[in-house]
Amino acid sequence: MKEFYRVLSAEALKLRRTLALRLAVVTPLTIVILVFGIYAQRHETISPGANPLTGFAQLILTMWTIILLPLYAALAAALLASIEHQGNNWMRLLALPVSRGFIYAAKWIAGIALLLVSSLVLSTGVCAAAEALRAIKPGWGTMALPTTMIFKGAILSFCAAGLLFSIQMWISLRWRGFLPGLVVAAVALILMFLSARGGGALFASIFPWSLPAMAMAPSSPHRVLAVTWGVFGGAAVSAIACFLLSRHEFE
Amino acid sequence: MSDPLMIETRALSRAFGSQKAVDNLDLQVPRGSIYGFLGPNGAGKTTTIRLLLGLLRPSGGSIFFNGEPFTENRRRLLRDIGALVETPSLYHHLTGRENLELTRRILDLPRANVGAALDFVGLTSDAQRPVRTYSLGMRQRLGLALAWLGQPGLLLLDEPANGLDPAGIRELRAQLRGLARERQVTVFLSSHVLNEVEQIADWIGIINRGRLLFQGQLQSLQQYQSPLSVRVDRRADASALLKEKGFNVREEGDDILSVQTSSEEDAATVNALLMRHGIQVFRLERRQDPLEDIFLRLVSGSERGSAA
Repeated sequence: MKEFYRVLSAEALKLRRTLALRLAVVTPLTIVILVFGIYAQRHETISPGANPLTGFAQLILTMWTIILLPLYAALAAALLASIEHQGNNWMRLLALPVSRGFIYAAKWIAGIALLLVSSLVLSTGVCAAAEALRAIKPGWGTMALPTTMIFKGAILSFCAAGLLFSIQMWISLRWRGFLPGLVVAAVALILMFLSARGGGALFASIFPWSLPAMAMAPSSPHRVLAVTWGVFGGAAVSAIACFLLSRHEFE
Repeated sequence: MSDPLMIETRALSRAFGSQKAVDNLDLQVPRGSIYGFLGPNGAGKTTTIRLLLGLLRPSGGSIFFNGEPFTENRRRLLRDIGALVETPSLYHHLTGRENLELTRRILDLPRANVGAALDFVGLTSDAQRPVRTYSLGMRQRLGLALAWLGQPGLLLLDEPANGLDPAGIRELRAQLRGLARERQVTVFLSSHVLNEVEQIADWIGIINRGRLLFQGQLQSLQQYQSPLSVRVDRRADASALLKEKGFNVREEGDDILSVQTSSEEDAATVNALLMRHGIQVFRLERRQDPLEDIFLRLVSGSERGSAA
């Protein structure tokens, strides 16, 4: 276990000054600022009993889980893998006297940590933006901040993203370059939109790229299934990938 | 019992499809030696180093470090090996020190090793700069520092002088010699720069098309692979006689023959043969051919052999 901690600590050091780490903060903040800008300029009447802050948070979470989270997961996986691919660093890393499985597992955990950071930045950003709206919009100051809904939605969608991230990570580690991972992500997103138009709720709750959206929506009947499948499917795929990658030869 | 070899391979082979990159290689690298592994591009040098590091699985044969089989003890044996394979594997967004720190963490080494390794390659003053700002030579030196970080008993270096300026190459030579002499570190370095190897290595292995053509001390390579230069009074007769006895003879100048021999006894045989047939021998000496000539002769000979 100590050996795994050492590899993990080295992996954390590798993240310094990387684009993957910067994007973990920039990506969620971008969507928060964009939607905040729209809401800040919009003049609307509040229906009795309605909380516009819930709509504000839900809009951001929906955009995050449907588009940005899957895209960021693909990009983070490709960027993390490229750290090793670019400098031919596999040569050195795999010739070190440590378990190869640990080397790959540490890479996975680094990626998962980035997704968690981005989800937490998103939740905090949404809360801060909602607080700002309460301060600047007349009549919004009395509205309750839907903090639980925001954090619960972000964390559950993060858990459900485990499976899609594991697939993206496997592809990115196995093949050099950004193209394979990003092509898979793009095709998967198109499939997800097509299935949504077809109304396949069950398909959406098992298709890896739509799991975060299913897990985020409080009204979704397959929310538990999406989260469970995302977590355990992700764990299974990562275990299989680590095993296969550790047997792979870099010729 | 004799000291086990630092590296020993027995019939080590590796094929990529039908192409044999390494073919029945029997390496024998003595402990504390500087072993120059020579070969033209594509001869199988890098594949051999990758096999020695466990980055590739052999198609056949076995590897031993210090007499212990590598496959069964990979991780334990790798702790005593530092390597630089092809271009140095570096994280360009990190500083030189962070690159070393990263490996230090993985290997659980004392923090002092980072400073010692930077000092060893003369990069202490540039340690805080990102590697992307380093010159090719500095990157190569950082690669060497990474190999030396754990202060291993064996250094496997693939073209270590790549990108170094003449002063850097001289410094590297002195450092590697110092490691071998003072710390009994075994240095296995592959190169195609013969001059570099000639000046540093005491043992030589020559590989071409995956096969080992020669292995032994540099001195013996130069001794037995250099031709005898024989000055005689009747060159034509002497040449005919030696050819008849199976020697490879070339006529040089008016009265000099160049005779290819494979042992010191052959020199005595040539002398006795000529004297017995009344040919006067004025001078018989072994020229010390430069390594480059010997290398090219061995490589072209092996290529003629495989073409036939």
